Amino acid sequence: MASHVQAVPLPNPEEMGLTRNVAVPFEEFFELQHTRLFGALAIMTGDRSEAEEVMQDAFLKVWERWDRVSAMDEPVGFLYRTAMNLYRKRLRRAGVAMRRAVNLAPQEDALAAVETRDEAVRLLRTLTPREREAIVLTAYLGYSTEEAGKLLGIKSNTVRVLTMRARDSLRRTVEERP
Amino acid sequence: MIDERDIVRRAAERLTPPGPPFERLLRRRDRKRRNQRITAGAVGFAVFVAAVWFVTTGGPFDRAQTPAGDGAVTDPTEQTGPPHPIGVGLLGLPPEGATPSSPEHGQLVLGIGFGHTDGDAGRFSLHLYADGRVIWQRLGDLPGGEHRGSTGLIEQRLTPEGVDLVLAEVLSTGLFDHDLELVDPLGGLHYGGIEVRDGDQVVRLTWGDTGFDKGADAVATTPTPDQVSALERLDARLEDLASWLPATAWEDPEFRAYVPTSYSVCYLVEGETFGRSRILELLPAQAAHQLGAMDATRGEAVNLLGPFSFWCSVMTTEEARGLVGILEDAGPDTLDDGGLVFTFPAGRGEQVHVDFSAVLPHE
Repeated sequence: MASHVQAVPLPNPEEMGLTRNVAVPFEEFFELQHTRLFGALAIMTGDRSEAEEVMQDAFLKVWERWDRVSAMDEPVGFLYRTAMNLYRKRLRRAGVAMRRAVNLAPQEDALAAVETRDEAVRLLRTLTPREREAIVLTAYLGYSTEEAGKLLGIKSNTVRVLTMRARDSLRRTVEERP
Repeated sequence: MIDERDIVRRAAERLTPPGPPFERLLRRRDRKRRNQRITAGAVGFAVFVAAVWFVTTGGPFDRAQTPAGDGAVTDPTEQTGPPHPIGVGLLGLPPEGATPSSPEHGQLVLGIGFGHTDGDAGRFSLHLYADGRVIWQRLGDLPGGEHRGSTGLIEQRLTPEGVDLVLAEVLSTGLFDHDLELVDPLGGLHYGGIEVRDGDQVVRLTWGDTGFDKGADAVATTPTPDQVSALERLDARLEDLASWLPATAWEDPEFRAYVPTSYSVCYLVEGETFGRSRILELLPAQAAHQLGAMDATRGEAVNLLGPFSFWCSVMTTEEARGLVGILEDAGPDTLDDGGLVFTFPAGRGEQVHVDFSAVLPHE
């Protein structure tokens, strides 16, 4: 799995401010990466608080191993893989703890609650959570469908179907706008 | 022609993290370190006590004196800081022959849930019964590592005096004259609810975004700083009863696994509002047959994947054990935060979950 982590391509390393094999202080790495990761997680979870917690836990795990991670070819790939693992784990927890969470868990979808005036956010709200996950990983973070499938624990074909459904849904929504 | 990359990029740019982000990361790191320090002490002590208990009682084969969990027993009066007994509460079904908590039913006099994060992960819940039983559990960043995100349900017992002291502590906050809904700003509070019996009256207090039934006549109000402080203090006190209750308040202060008489088995597909028969079709035939023959109640909830409906049936522990046997033959099970859950593929990347939860004495 470690080789997979390192094989994950950066969407655009230079654009993201990270040059390969150049160790940067962790705080600088955090400053460069946290906004993008948070945005991706916020769309996927639909919840700012969950997104922040997953993001923080992912960065803390990276920080604990910063000596090794900063020497990797693709430290950003390691960060995203860590974040996706944590995200999946929290989804499982949300399912497991479902019964007792019913009464005492936040129920608000952040995408529904904030920035509803923003067209892009409004469009993404029309997608199912699974479609959001697929499109964020492939269209935003630049993963292949195979890599996205591994990160999400589903088949690459399923990622393709979800991505196509998401694209169709977005197109229909745009076309149906008055 | 639409450009989904541009849509996602623009949306992500609109969703910015709360700030200052790095300072918030440092605070989370510090909280985790504190937890780890507590863990080291708690685990060491639990191992010591378990070893002593094994030698002095004959270990887990002496059922007459064995707690229903895996045998570890800790004495909260010996610890510093909130106790988090590791390996005591059950996450799955009890061992065969374990003695259920008695009596089967109890009158709830206090029920609380404190959310320590805005999500569901950091949660503490406690139920206090008129017969003295205190049943609680903690979810989230537990001392003890990531492999176990819950203490499982822990049972202790108070004397009648202890019950009165806890209720007095809650009522003395002055927050329970009537149903109350506290809204922002909430300081360090996130979300939660308290339901307390005061004589013949049951009063509810909620804060934050809970989705909790706030009470028919709940008054929504912005809390004063004193009210926020009172709630924070109450949280700390209720999570560590041993730190302030006198010895006379305890009938049995030992941490024991809560062993239920029955289980609520719920099934659902994440992010979907499927009907019952649709979900049952996705389960192994024998399991579907057993569940389909039982009464079931429908519920709705929301998790990270969006709204979903779920169906729950209450069954005896032995019936649950039989169902677990069927499911174990057919799919992977997971012991995680809240208990035992089985997951099966449901097509198109969806998953159906079957979740086993202990039924509490008031349920």
